Amino acid sequence: MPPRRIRCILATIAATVLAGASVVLVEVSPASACDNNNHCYGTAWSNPSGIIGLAADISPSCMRAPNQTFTTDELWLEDSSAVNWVEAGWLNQGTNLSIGGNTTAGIFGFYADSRPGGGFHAHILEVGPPTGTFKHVAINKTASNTYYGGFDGHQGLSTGNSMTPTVGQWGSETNGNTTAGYSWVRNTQYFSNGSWHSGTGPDFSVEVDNNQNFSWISQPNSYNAGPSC
Amino acid sequence: MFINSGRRGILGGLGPILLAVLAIVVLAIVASQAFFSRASAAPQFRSASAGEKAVALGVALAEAARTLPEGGTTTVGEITTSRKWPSNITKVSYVASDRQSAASLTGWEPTNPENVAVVVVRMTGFFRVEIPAPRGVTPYVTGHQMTIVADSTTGQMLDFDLEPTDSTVALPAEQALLPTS
Repeated sequence: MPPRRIRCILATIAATVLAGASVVLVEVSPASACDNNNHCYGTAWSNPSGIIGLAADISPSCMRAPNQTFTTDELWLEDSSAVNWVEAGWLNQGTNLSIGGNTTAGIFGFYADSRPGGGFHAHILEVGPPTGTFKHVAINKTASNTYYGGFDGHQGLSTGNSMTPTVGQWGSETNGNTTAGYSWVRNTQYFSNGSWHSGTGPDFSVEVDNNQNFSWISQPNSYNAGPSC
Repeated sequence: MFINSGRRGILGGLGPILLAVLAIVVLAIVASQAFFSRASAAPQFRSASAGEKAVALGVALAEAARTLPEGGTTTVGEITTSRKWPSNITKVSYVASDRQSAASLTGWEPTNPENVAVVVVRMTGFFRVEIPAPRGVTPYVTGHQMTIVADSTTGQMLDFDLEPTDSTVALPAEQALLPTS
C-alpha cells in the first residue's frame, strides 16, 4: 500500500478516535478515469438493521454535464445481492446520451429501480428544477412489492419490486471527468423498525472516487457531495 | 285552527315521503358519479395522430441511437440522420395515451395530480442501456423489450422500462413503425 495512502488512513483513524464517532475509515480510491463503463462516486453508506427508507433535502449549487456525460446527487437503497435497488434524486445529463432511457439533455428529478427477476425502470419526476434550491427526496418501501419515490412533491409508486433492502447510500454518481454537481444535503433520515430516524445510520463508511467529493457539514445530518463546481 | 291542523297533518304525512325521495336522488347522484369516475379512471389508449406519430418516431430513433449493443455496425449518424433502423431492432410500435394510463406499462403509478398527453413506444430486439446505479453495480443493463412513455408535445421521456425478455404482448391500439408496411 502506498505510503501516502497509509498516512491518509492513519490520519483519518486518529481524527475519528478523537471525535469519538463510530465511523469506519474514509477510503479514497486510486485515481481512475470515469467513463460509460466505470462510474465514479462520492458516497457514504450504512446498513442499519431493518432499513427500508431514505430521505434528505438536496440542493446542487451547480450542475454541468458535457457531451455524453451525466452526474447525479441522490439516494440509493439496495439489497445484499447488489443487483437490485431503488434510487431517486437529481440528474444532470449531457447531449448524445441515453441514461436510464432518457435521451434529452437537461436537469431532472428522477426515480429508478432494478428489480428481482430482472427489469430496469426509470421515471422523470420533474423537468428543469432550478439548481440552488433544496428539493426533498425520499424512497421507501410501502408494501411487500411496492416502493414510494418522491422528488419535490412529484411522486409515484413503483409496483412489482419485491426487493428487501439492507444498505443505504448517499451521495453522487458521474461518468465524466469534467462534470460538476456539488450539492448541499441536509435533514438526512432513514426508515427502519417502523419509524424515521435522523441521520444516515450508525457505522457508516465514506468512499470517494476520481472527480468526486464527499464531506460532512454536520455529521451525520448534513454533507456536501458531488464533482466540484 | 282546524285548517292549520289539517295542513300540518297533510304536510306531516308527506314529510317522510319527501325525505325518502330526496335520499334516493342523492344516492343516485353519488352512484352515478362513482360509476363515471371508475369509467374515466380506466386506462385510455387510442390510435395516434400524424403529429404524435412523428414524435413517436423521434423518440424511437433517439433510443435506437443510444442503446446499440456492442459490436453493432450501424452508426449513430445513420440512425438519427438517415433514419436507418439498426439490425438489433426487430419491431417498433406506438400508441397515444395519457401518462396516468401509460405509466402502468412501466410498473409506475404516478400519485401526484399532473397528467399529460403521451406517446408510448415499444421496441423489440436487443438493447444495451447505460444506467445510474449504486457503487459496485455494473452501470449498464441489456434487455429485449424497451417501453418508453414520452410527452407527446416535447418528446421528453417520462417513464422507461427495459425487460430481459420480449413479452410478445401488443400495446393496446398499437400502430407499427417497424416493420414498415
